[in-house]
Amino acid sequence: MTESFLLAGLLNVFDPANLLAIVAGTLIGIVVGSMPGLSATMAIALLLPLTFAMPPETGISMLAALYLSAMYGGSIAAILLRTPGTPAAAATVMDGYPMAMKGKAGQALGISLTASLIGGVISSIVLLTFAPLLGSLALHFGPVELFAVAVLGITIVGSLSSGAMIAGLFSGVLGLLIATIGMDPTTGTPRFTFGELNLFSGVPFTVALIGLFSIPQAIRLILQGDANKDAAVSSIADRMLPRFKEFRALLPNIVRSGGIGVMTGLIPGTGGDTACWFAYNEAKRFARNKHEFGTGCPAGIAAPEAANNAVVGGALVPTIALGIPGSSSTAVLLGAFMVHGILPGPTLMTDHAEITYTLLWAVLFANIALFIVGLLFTRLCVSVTKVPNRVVAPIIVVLAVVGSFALNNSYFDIMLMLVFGMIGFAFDEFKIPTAPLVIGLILGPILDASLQQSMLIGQGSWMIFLENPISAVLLAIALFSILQATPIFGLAKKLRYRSSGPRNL
Amino acid sequence: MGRILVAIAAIALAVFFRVEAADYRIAASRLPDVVGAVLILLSVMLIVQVLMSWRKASAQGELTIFPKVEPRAILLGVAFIVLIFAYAWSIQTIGYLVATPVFLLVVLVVLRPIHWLWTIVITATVTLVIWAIFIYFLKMPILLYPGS
Amino acid sequence: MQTRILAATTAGLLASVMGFSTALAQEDQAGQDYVGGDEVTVLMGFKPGGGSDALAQLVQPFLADEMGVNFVNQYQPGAVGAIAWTRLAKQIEPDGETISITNTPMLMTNYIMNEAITYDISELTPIANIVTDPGVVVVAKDSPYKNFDDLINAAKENPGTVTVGNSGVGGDDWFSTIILSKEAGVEFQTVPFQGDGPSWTAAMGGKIDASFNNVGITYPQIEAGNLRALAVFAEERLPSLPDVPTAKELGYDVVAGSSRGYSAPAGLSEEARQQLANGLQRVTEDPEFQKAAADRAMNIDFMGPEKYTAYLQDQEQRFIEVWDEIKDEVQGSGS
Repeated sequence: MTESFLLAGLLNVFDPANLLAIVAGTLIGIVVGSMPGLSATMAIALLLPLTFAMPPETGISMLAALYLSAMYGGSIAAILLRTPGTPAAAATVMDGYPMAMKGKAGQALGISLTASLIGGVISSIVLLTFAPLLGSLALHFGPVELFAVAVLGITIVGSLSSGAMIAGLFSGVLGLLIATIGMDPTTGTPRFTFGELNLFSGVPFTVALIGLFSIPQAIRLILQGDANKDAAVSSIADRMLPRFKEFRALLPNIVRSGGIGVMTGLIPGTGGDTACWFAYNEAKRFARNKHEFGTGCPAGIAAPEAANNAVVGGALVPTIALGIPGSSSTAVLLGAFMVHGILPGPTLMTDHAEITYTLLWAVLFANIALFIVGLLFTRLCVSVTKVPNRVVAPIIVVLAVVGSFALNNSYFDIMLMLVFGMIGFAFDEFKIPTAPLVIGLILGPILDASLQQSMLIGQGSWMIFLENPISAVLLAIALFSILQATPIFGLAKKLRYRSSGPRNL
Repeated sequence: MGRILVAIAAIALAVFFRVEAADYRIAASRLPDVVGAVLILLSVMLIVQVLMSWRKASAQGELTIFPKVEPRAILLGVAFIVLIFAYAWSIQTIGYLVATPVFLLVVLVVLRPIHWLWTIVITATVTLVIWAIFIYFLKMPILLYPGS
Repeated sequence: MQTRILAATTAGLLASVMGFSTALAQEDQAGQDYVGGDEVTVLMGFKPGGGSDALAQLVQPFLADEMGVNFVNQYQPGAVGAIAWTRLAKQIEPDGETISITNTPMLMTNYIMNEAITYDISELTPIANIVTDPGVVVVAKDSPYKNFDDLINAAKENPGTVTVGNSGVGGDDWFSTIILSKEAGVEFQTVPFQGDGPSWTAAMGGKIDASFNNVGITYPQIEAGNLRALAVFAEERLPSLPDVPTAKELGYDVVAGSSRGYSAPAGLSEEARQQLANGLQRVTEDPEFQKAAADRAMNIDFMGPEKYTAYLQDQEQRFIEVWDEIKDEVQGSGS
C-alpha cells in the first residue's frame, strides 16, 4: 500500500507543473526569508488564495518549498547584515556575521546552504520513512514535558555567556521577565500591559528580534563609516561551497544538528527559533575549539542552519501522521490542505495518501531546488558587502521599520522595535551579550504557560516534574549542563586531564 | 559605568513589575515574581563585579569610569538615533512614500558616502523595491502619503 | 547595480504571480454592483491559519463570485482579536469597504472580562452569521471514561481532580466548562491551553482527563477513533455524530459553541448590509459551498442581520451573568 503511494507521489513531483511550482516557491521563500519581518507563515497565508486555482498537489508543493527555503533565506541577512531575516536564523548571526567581516561572506553563505541542504534532506528522509511511527511521539509532549524542554533550553544561556557569566545570565533573565508581559495564560490577567491593547498578547518576539539586532547594527555601521572597508570586502569570486575536507569535518556536526532540528520540530510548541539555539549549543559543547565560537567558526553556522531546515520535516511529522500542527507554519500548511477540501487529520496518510506523499517528496526535492536556486541567488546577495556601510545602514533601518510593521500591521510594533533597538545598542556598547536575552524571550512564554498548566494538572505539586520520566530525564540533563558550566566541573575535568594527559589538543 | 546604569534600570523595572504584580492572582504572578527576584540579584552582582574591576584598576592607577569617546562620534550616533525615531514617527503621519526617500536622502546627502547620482538611484530603488514587495504584493496596509 | 538586478528578478516574479490574482478577480458579475466598491477589506483579528482564516478562505472566493467584489484579508492579530475589533468599532468608516469576521464568544468576552477593552457590540453592525461549531467533550480512546456520566461521576467523587482542558480563558470551551460545572454541581480542574490543538492533543496523549473543544476541530480524530466524544453541546444530535448524545438529553442544559460571522462598524448603510447579507445567504445555499463546508467539518448556521444581532445581544447578556458570578474566583483580588 504505502509503497505504491510512495511511487505515485514521486511521479507526481516529476510533473513539470509541480517542479515549476517548487522552483517558484523556493524563489519566493528565499526572498521572503531574507526580509526581516516577512515570515514564511505570512507568505503561505497570502499565497494560499492563489493556489486555489492549482491542482492540490501543485499548490501544496509550492507552499512546502516556500516554507523550507524561507528557513535558508533568513540566514542571508543574518550573515551579511547581522540582522536575522527570520527568528530561526538568530543563532546564525553569532558566527555568520563575524565570518563575513573577515571577508568570507560567500563561504559563510555556502556553509549555510550546504548545511541547510543536508539538514533538510535528513528531515525529509525521516519524514518519508518514519512519519507514522514518530507521529505518536508528539503526543508524549504535554505541558509537563514542555516545561522541562524550556528549562533545558534556558541552560543554553550559561554556555552562550562564557567569559561574561553574570552579564549573560542577567541578559537571559531580563528576557524571561519581559516575556511575562501580556495576558497570563491560565487566568487571562493582563500583566504589565498598562491598558495597552497591543501588549495583551505579549511582546511579539520577532519585533523584539528585529530591533535587538538591526538597529544597533545600523548605528554601528554609521559610526564605523568606511574607514577600514577593504578588510571587510568579500570578493564575489570567493569560493562559496566548502571544500571536501572542510565538509567532512563539518558533517558530524551537521548530522547531529539535523537530528536536533527534527526532534525540536516534532515537539508541538517548539520550532526553528528554539532548534537553532539547541543545535548551536550542542555544536559548541562537542567542539574542541570552543573559544573560536562567536568569532566566525564554520561549525557555528552549520549547526543552526542544518537544524532550522530539519525542523521543517520534523514539524511535518505530527502534522502528516496525526493532523497535529507542529508549528505555526505547518498550521497554515494544513490550511492549504483545507482549501483543497482535504480535512487535516489521521486520514492524510490513508485516504489522501497520494497528495500527502507528493508533499513529502516535494519537501525532499525542494531541498535540492533550494540548493541550486540558493547558489545563484546568494552570489548576487554577497555583493551587498561591496555597498558602503553608510549606505547599508539607512536601508537596514527602513527594512526594520517596515518589517516590524508588516508582522501584525501595527504602528505600535514599530515603536516597540525601536525600544528593543535601544536596549540592543546599550547591551552591545556595554558588552552585555544579547543572545541570552533572545533565548529568554523565546522560552519565556513556553515556560510560563507550561509551568502553570503543569501546576494545574499536578494539583499544585512540583513533584509532577520528577514523576514524569521524560521531564525527569530532561531536567537531569539540564542540571548536568549547569554543573558543567560551574567551576566544580572544570576542576574535575582538569584533574582527569592531569591523570590521563591532554589528548587531541 | 554603562553596565551599572543598565543594571540599575533593570532593578527599577523588576521592582516596578513586582509592585504591579502584587494585585495579580498567584498563578499570574508566580513566574514574574521569581524571575524579578533573580534579576535583582543578578543586577546587584553585575554592579559589584564592575565595582571590583574599578578597584583593581584604581590599584593599578588605570581607573576610567567614563571611557573617552570622540565627541564627533557621539554627535553622529545621537543624530542618527534621533533620525531613526523621526522616520518611525513620520511614516505614520506623512506616509511611507514620503518618509522613506526623505530619510534615505538625509543620511546619504549629509554623510555623502557615494556620488550624488548614486544617492538618487539608490533612494528610488530601495523605496520602490520595498514598496513592491511589502505593499504592492503583500498588501501591507501602511499609510503611503499624507491623507491617503 | 546588484540591487537593480535583484529588483528586476523580484518584479518579474511578482508580476507573474499577480497575473494569477487579477485573473481570479475578473469573474462574471452577478446582480447589481455592491455599494461599498469593488474591493472589500476583511479585517482579521487572528493569525493566518486559525479558524477565522479557514472561514475566510472558504467563504470569500464564493462570495467574490456571487457579488463581483474582490475580498482582501488584512491580518491584525493580537489580544484575542480585540485589536482588530477595537479598530473596527472605533476607527473604521462604515462605508462598507471594510468588514470583519466576528467570533463569539470572544467578540463579547473580551470586553466583558477586561476593562481595558472598550468596544462593545453596540458599536458594530452585525451582518450575518455563517457557521456555528458546537462544543464537544472528548477523551482519549483508552480513557476509563466510557460515557459522559462516568466523567461527571468521577468529578463528583473526587472534586477538583479531574483535569479538563480548554482552548483558553474567555473562549467558548472555557465558558461551557463553567456552565456545565454549575449545572451538574461538580468541580473540574480546568486547564486552559493556548488554542484548541494543544488541548485535544493533551487529552489524546492522556496528559489530561478530558478536553472541551469544538466538533469541527476534533472531528477527524473522533472519526479515526483517536478521540472519543462523550457529549455535544448542541440543541439536537449532530448528523455527523449521530451516536453522541447531547448534554441536554443527558439532563444538563448546556448549549454552547463558537460562531463566526461577518460584521461592519455601526452606521453601515442598510443597503450595503442587505447586499452583503444576501450575498452570504446565497453562498450558504450553494450546494457546491455546502459540500466544501462539509468536507471541512464546518457546520453552516446562517443567521440574517436581525437574527445575528439578536443572537449577539442574547449571548452578551448570558456571558455578563456568568462572568459576574465567577469573576472573583478566576481573577482573584484586584482585576
